[in-house]
Amino acid sequence: MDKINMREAIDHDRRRFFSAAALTFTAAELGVIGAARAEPNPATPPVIKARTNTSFGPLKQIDAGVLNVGYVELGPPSGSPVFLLHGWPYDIHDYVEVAPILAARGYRVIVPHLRGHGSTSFLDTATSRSGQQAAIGVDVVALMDALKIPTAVLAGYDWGGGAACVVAALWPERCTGLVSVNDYLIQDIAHAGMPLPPRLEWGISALNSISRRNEAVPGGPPIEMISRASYGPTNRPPGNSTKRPFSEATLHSTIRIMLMW
Amino acid sequence: VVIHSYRHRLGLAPGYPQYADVEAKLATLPLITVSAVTLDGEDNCIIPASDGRSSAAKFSGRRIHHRVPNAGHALPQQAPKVFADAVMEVTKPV
Repeated sequence: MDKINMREAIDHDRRRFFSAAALTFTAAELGVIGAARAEPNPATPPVIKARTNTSFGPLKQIDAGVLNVGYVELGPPSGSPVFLLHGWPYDIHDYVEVAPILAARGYRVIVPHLRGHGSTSFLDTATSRSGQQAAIGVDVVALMDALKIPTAVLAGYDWGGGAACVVAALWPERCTGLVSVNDYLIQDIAHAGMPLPPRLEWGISALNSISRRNEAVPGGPPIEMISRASYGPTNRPPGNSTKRPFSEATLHSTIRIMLMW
Repeated sequence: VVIHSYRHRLGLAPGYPQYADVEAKLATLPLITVSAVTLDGEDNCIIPASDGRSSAAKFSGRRIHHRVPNAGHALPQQAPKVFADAVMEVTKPV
């Protein structure tokens, strides 16, 4: 038993390592882009304050559906429940500042690591490692069942916003309210091969152009806006190294992937 | 999980059979009938901010949309108070 526990502890450390590495990769790349352009830009850079709270208390674990879910819980147990669902490539720490605000306002706040993240693991190693929107939505319902929470507010962005939308749409009797960043996030997979509307392709072409030539697209967003907009300064490592420890192909596939939600 | 997520999202990998029913329902792009607050970070270059009208038809219940200045895609990190306020707003009785 001790051996098993030890192995799990190591796996979690490994996962943290890889997620930190992925985060550094994207953040470093965007930071480099911002620093590479010397001329002044007419757009006023957004002011994004550094976070003041950086950690949660101890994690809880509970079996829910096909997972053992790691989560934090804040606020009074009798409070109105709200689930805060994180994005990729982040984890529950998306909500280190949001969660205490809501707890102080009397909500029972539950912040789970989604499948593939943090201390959440599959109960059976043979379970398929699905990442599809249905699976992540079903996980949320299973967690609500495991915690015996019949209804809750579901709030999220990116992967978590998608999951919140999935549950709100298919299990409205479980959802008393939806907070979603970027609106309706249920994926139209049948049309995934079609071009996106122009305003969305705008972002893709701009990022591709910058990643190739460190140049902005005429008519597209200014480089500084792209480099700092999506990921705040709190996640950007210091330094402006222009060394890329990855291939051009990796960069492009990753940017393409980043844009999908 | 991550690789399958994006491959599936792009239509490049099949879903798993145990989720076929749920995925079939999602493929109809079902309406969201519950009360909703939606937020768009004005500095989000992954998904540019909108006025919410393009997705309005997908929300059949009460829906409030806000554009959020000085925030990008990872909005809960960048505008935590706004996000927390949205939770309050969505639970507020009409």
